[in-house]
Amino acid sequence: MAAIRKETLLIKHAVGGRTFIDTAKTPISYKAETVHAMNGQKGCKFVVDNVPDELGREILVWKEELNVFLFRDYENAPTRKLWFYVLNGPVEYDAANRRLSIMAQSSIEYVPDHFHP
Amino acid sequence: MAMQCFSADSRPLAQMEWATSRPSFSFGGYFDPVNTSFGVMRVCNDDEIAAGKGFGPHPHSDMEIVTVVLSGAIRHQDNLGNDVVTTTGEVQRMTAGTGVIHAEYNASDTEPLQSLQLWFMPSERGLKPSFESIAYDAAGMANTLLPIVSQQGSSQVASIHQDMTIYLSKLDAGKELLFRQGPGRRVFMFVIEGKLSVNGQIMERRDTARMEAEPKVALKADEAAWFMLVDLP
Repeated sequence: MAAIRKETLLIKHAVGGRTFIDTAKTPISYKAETVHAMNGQKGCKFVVDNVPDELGREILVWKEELNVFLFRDYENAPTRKLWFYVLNGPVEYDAANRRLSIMAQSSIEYVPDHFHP
Repeated sequence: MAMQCFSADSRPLAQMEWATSRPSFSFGGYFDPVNTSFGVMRVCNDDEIAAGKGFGPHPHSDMEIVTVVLSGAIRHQDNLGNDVVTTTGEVQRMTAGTGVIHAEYNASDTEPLQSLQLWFMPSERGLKPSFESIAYDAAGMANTLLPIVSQQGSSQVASIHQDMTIYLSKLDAGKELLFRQGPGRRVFMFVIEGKLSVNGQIMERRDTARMEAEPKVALKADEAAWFMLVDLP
């Protein structure tokens, strides 16, 4: 596997595609930690810092309809997209610390350039 | 709200180089916080996609997605292994459930694709993803309401994980139909072609209506009309 050149966190509304967080456009500190979740699958816990209050609250409104992605660009390989399924979360926003946390229960990886089912 | 009509040109027009779409509900660049749903219905996009073009791989989850092909053909590919072309007279249903990656393209290199894409919230989250494409009895929609998607499904009716039914009908000019709306139910109407009176209100091509607490939906074709009626909670 080639080295990752760039990683982008995207959090979007799954219905209609409104973008809530796109670290490629608005750099923002985040951590993505692999955890074991639903049915032994690999889940992921995301912690995003410095999330504006209005945005954090808006994400909570749609917390059952989030598309969470990690886009990974490589030096000599096509972009790989990791999409995360957020069933029951939890999805939480800590307004005092402007911190958003999302627990995703499973994921699917795909390579758009090589999508041949 | 008893009955609300929306003219075709009241909907926003989303225009890309190779596609146009008129969403009935908030979608893409159009977001209106008071227009995000009608009962369990979340999306009704009136789409036209240029020959050979379409949407690359992208995910969906916890949504029942129905595509009614009005003209042309759509090719669906997904990570479940499905690679299916759905044409006029057919309808496809995808249960996104715990997650599916799919791509959808106009299957023709020469003809545009016209379709209605409809999204509904499922009766429960976390369902196993699945997909089907069925041919309905196109001749059977003459002067009656023909179910093409329902919770029960059948060989000519796609099944959906929700207590709802999607009907298509082609009414000859002057013909009438009566639909009885059950208590607590909603009706969404979409006029595909022609002109129709719905409880006395005139609806024309690509107009829509949303009805609640209307025990009777009286339909009369002022001219030959092709329309979709969705009965949903």
